[in-house]
Amino acid sequence: MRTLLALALFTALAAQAASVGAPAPDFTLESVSGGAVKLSQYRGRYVVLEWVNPECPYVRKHYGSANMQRLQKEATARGALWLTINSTRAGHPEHKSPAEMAAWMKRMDAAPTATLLDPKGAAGRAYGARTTPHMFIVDPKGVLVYAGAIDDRRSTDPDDVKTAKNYVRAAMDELLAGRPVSQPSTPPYGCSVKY
Amino acid sequence: MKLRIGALSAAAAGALAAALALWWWLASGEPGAIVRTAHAQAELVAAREAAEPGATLPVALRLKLAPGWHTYWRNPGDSGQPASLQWRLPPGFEAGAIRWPVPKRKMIGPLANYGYEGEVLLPVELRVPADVKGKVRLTALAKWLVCDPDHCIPESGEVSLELAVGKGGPSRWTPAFEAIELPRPAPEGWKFAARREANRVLLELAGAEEQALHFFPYEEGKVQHAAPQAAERTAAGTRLAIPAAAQPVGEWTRLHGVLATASGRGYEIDIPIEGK
Repeated sequence: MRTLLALALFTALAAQAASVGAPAPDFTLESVSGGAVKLSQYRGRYVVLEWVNPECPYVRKHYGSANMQRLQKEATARGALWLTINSTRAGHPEHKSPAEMAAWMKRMDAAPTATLLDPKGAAGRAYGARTTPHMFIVDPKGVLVYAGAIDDRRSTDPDDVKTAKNYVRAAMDELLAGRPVSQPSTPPYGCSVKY
Repeated sequence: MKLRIGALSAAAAGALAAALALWWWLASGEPGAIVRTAHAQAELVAAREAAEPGATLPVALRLKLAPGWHTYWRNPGDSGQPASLQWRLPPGFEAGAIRWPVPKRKMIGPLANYGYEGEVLLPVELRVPADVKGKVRLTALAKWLVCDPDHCIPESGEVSLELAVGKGGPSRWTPAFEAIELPRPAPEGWKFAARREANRVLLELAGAEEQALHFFPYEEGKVQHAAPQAAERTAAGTRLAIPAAAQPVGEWTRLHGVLATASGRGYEIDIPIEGK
């Protein structure tokens, strides 16, 4: 019975997981500053999705070095939108309330378009988000054009940011130049998403 | 500004930790001192009691993890990171790469990790130069990530071992080295074939009695790590259905990895995948 149930849950997850080159699943999530955000309301713009968990050492590497904030500011300055999503389940020891999440983002001087909470993990599962960080780019037509790691240096060492190849920046460079993304899928690295 | 201070204090903490590790190493007269972290004990162990000039010396990073915590295989699965060793060896010594024991799959909600719980030896072969004399000290900076289902902690420590030079005999660790379950070559008589069928790869195995099998890929972005791999009996043997990653990285052209049995044995395979 447990196996059947596990299988059913898994199948549901796998069947929904977004794939690169296909329409990106839509979602509606609550923002930490109040109000709901629906992905499809941003059709016509590039949207970067970032999975986050402030308690994860890999996330802290990219925020502690200001790498993530720099990337957020850069992307939005180039006309893209940026949604930071925390899919940690309600009741998990690392779960953050909207106020706690908003306070952490403020303390980090983060600059996404919105910070969203996904305590039931629906958006996370729809995208097959596995790690924090895990990055996705949706193009103006609503197609998923990048899924994977933030960069090519799997580590928790902030110094590695300087020498890493940032896949999200590289993909945005190519997209804004009208070219296809040359590395549209990379293995994400980080902590597991706390579903 | 706060961020700067945060980064600085993190750097200072890192430097302090490194200094403490160095102090621990210098202060300990033990041949193989145990590094104790919040969630693990780490030490460098050798399969022989001496380093024989001109020979290969099996050594290993021994990690003993706190109950409920795990660390990672070379392909960590859906999250995490394998352990690493940065060696500091006497002149002429050469260290090989970590040879990864057969992993287990650990489910974390809808995700899966590949790795180890409890006690694990991560073996490395050291080449001992022919002209070495006296005593040698072997040192490595070990870094490992430990996670339980709720948290992940990067840990590290300098592990070190002093050995006499000479023929020596087996050490007290020799039985532990002999018990390491490294992937072995597939038995003579096992026949493999793999073909792509929609979003999975079917592995046909003939000539083997084994039924409960699981394929661990060396590369990420090929297999859906958390998906069950259904095995069924065929006239020739066993067919294993291995679901493909939802967001594949590159072309999946070979089944390259370890085929593990329910008893924890593993067989290394590298076979072409037919079809698209």
